[in-house]
Amino acid sequence: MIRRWSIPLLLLCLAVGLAFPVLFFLGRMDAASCKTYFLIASAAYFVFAVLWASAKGEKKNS
Amino acid sequence: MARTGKFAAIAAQLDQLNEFDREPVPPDKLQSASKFMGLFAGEHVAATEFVIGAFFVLHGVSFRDLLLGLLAGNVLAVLSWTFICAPIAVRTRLTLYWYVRKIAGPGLTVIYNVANAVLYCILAGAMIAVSATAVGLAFGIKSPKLTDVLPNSLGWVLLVFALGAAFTALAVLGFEKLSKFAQAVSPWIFLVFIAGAVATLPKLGVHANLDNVWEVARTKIWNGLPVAGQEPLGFWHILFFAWFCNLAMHIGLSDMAVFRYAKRWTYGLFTSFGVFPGHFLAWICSGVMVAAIGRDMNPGLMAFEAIGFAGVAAVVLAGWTTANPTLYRAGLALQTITPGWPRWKVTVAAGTVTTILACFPIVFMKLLDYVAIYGLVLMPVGAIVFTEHWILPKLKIEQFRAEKRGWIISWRVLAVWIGTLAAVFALPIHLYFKWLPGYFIAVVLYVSLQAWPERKSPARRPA
Repeated sequence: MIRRWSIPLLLLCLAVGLAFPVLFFLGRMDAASCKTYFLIASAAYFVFAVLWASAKGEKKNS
Repeated sequence: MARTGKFAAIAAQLDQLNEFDREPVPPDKLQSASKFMGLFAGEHVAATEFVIGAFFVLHGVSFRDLLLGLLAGNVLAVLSWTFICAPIAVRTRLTLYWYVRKIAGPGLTVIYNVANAVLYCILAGAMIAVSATAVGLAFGIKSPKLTDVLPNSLGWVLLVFALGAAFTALAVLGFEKLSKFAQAVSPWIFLVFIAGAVATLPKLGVHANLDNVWEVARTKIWNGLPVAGQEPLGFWHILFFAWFCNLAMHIGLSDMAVFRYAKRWTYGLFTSFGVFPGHFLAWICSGVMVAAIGRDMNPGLMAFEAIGFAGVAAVVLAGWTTANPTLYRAGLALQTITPGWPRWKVTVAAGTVTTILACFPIVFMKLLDYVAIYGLVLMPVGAIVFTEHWILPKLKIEQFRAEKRGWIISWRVLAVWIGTLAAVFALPIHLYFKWLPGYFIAVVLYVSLQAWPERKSPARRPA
């Protein structure tokens, strides 16, 4: 279950993470906000990455 | 040379370590095309990419030379995997280790492994140094200058030792779990390259409608002007660099370990899924980022200025995820000459050597040259295996003499290896171009020596 959901969530984090520098480049966001939001998206990515990796490990062990 | 004494014991130890992949891969273990695509997609986005792309800017490469050179060089690299490495792997289903053993004898595989271990340690040292530039920002430790050979401060040495100890400890604690983590992290590291470059563009004056992006690229990033002390590089240098930066893997055939699981040799083409994001886009992105910090070779600062703390984390993680398997491989290779040592002890020894090397900034400040030397040193072995596999049968020259005669070392192979290296280092051409004539020198030398009649001696039982 976790494994199934973690992949789309990982991709979503990557897409959202990329959106902030694009918005900054287009002048719709300031540099500080861009860096902060990118950091938050990155942290979220790591949470789901750890969940995905551990679910993958469990599947192999079972 | 017949197998005797201590050398034979070391060779037996090495065989034992590689025992699990001694047999050719059976048909039911072959992997699908999608697995290969996934495998290669995660490769080639490492800490070195932060340095290499930036160095092209520092060496004054022009934008046109960069694009065309990278495009052609990467295509040649993919073709080398497809037409040189994959066909031999698919036909033999063996790792390079076992194939070299048949051709050169177990003693030479020991020498090859030790050479590989030393080269791996230097590479891992560069990774630790790159990570140190990022961590150093938090402690106000100045990164070394472009021309520095020796450590520039005690702070730098202490920082490198702390990171080296951490990386080594993690490599000792659990390689497999960390590999899984590294696999999960690699798409994010690639994202940091893209995000960092996009966020840097306004600083370089690129308009939101991109109408001046080519002009900025040509005049402010890859403007053709090298920084002081850096030699200018052009199209051919870039082409050859992109081609040889994985020379040990394709022409050197070490990726036989991967391709022996391929159903068809055409799976070599899937390497493009890793090569083009890593050795094309990521290099371009790091070039954009370094231009925005005044062409200062400081990967940590470069990523921090571009995308903040996430960038710093990316440099550290990229260094660590690359250093980790490299340390592991170095440990594995060194285990052959330290019989009886447990894995953790060997990894700690490799980590200590690596950390000491990492203190010397020249390790990553001369990374481009080192990458060239790394490929060059191992290239002759690839040429010998290629010749043995394809050319000797066509010329009706006997194959696998070391295995048939029970030699511990094939002196002909060793002579070709050393002779080729001596010849290429004497060639009056740029370091980047040396490997190509060297490859042909190795092929011709090996065919000539193998065609030379050997002294009659009774055949031994296979080793």
